[in-house]
Amino acid sequence: MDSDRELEETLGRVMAPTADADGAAAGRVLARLEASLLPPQRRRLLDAWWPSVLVDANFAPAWPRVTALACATALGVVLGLSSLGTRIATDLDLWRMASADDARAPIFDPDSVTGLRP
Amino acid sequence: MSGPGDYDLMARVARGDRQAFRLLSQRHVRAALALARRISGNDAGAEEIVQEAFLRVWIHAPRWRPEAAFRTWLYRIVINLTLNERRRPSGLPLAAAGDPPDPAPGPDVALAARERDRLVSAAIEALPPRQRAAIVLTYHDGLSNAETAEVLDTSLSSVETLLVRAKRTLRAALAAYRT
Repeated sequence: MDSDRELEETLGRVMAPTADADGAAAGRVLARLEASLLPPQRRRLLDAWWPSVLVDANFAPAWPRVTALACATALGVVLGLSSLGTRIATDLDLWRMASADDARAPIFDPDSVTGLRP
Repeated sequence: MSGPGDYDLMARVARGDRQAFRLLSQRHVRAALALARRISGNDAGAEEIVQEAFLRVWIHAPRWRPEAAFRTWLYRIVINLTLNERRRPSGLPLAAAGDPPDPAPGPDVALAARERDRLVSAAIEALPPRQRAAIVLTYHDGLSNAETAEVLDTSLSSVETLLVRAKRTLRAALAAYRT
């Protein structure tokens, strides 16, 4: 359409950068920035106390993170399948402490007077 | 562009490196000035806005995360400052200053083109701020609609709507000139 083309051409001319004016103004702005005392920077509270790697919330996939996660998963599966936890509990005698010697033994002792169990 | 990239410079600025801040400012000051001038329509105001924008870049550099390009972040600061500034009474608008007189008598076609350009400039000045910002970012800075949406912190469809409305107004201004 002629009106669209005319508008696009006009916008292209009107919006063309004016190098000279911008150059002089740029020089003034840079000079003022150079001469001014820069204010203190604002840091995130966590950054002041923690290493940046711990507060970096970038969850984008990356080979190191994926590798570490895969290794941790594999280690968990291996530990679970090897019953390592069960063996540790046995070594520490945790099973005996948690369960009765005889599975058929009554939970309550017989009453000393009546001889009956509650 | 030679030398360290914007991301590397910002990482250094975040650690308080003034030399990096100087390099970053030199690299982007002209574009920021042009943007501020186009939207505010005020030369002196544009310089103050850009100076304030770079001071904010310095202050908030440790908090900047490179989800978007540095230029996008800087433009967003400049536009926010400019739009806030426009709510206050400003000095002489850029378009009202007029073009300097042409000493050489030009042909009628050139005169008509200059008059048309002046008309469109005035119509752009009169646009609502966000429509004007969309036009400037698209036609002066050459940003894509997606980049413009990022700078204006809005959706792609909103940018397209802003451009459609702005062009409709400008087209009407041109049509009024022709009649």
